[in-house]
Amino acid sequence: MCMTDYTWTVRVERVGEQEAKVFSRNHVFVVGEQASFRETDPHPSAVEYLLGALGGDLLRGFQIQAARQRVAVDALEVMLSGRLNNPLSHLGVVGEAGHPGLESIQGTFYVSADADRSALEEMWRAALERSPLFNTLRRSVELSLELRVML
Amino acid sequence: MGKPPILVGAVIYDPKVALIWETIKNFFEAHECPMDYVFYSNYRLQVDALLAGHIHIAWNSPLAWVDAQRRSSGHCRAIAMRDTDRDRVTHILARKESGVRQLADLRGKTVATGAIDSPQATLLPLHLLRKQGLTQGRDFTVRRFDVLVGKHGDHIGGEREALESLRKAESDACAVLDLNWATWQADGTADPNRLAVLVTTAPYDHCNFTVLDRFPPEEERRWTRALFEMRYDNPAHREMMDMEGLKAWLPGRTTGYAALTEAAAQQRFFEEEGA
Repeated sequence: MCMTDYTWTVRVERVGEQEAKVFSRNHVFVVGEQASFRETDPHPSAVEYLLGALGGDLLRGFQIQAARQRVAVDALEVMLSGRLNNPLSHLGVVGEAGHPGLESIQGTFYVSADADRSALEEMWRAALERSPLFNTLRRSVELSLELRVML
Repeated sequence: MGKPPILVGAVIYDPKVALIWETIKNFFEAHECPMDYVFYSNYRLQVDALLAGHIHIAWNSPLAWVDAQRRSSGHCRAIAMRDTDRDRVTHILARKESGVRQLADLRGKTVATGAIDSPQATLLPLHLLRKQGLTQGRDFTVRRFDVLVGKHGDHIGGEREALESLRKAESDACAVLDLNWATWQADGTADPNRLAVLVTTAPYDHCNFTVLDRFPPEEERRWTRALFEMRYDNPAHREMMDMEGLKAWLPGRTTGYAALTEAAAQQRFFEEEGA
């Protein structure tokens, strides 16, 4: 089988009025609302999973690059914020223009590691280049990510 | 299958407002009076939907009530309102240091208002000034802050910008709803030591739940009976009532819209809007 044909499959089951359970290989996780405007909820929303997935992808990608360069990483953290084009369209407000899709994602990637800035920037570029989610989202969403090197 | 839900229209400008309506919907479901909401981006569309029978009840701004009455030839009823919708007033403020101490001092000056369709921050205060012999364009200049036109000043963005313009001495007076004036003094947005109330309108009423005359009275009773069961001393209801800014729902009344009806006619608001 050609590796380009590799696919991942998840099964998603409705388990409550406001939640769905995702079965993925040996894992299970629960998705709440599509996009939530509340302060708290029993489960993360689909939009938050997407942001979280991008963050996880970037952190893991950077860690792989660091390991290849034999750079010891002290700490990695990414903060991501996403904005819909028009949240009111998602709520079905009659007369609203725009669409409910993500318009932009902004984020800061914090790294503290035993390497100089140019080496860390090179790892960051390589991590972005190989990131499945970054390369998917950047084709449809305004992505603005900044690397910040911490001492 | 139970009764079909009563459809209630609401204009929203912030996704968080949708949460209030979700709570209201759940409240009505729990009181065996199923309702659902339909959101509109502006009051013009909501009044269209009410008149076309797409919704049964419209949560109308005062100007939307006037519009619905005008377009239905008086065939609407106001069935409920918040306690805080009754007897509101608008203050026209000036800076104490500016020398504007009475209405006559506004001649040749600039008055900041909210959005063109804000009853409390534009239509009613301009009407008051005209009745006091001051006409915009002739006696004073209006500096209007048209924020989110179509939402009838609900979001108070234009009103706040008008206040800011007065504060920065870019205008000589501004118009604010009494509730906003109280809030802005309390939270430090406005300094009562620097600003003074020049004049205050007569009391008027704000929003109401509007239905067409043909809305069945038994449905109205069923719906208002459930609504009036909402109690501020019940913690389960309080959060929503705080978000919506009320302590009790009251029966609708229509005696508080005369000044706005006059103001809209005198300022040719609906003609200018192309209605």
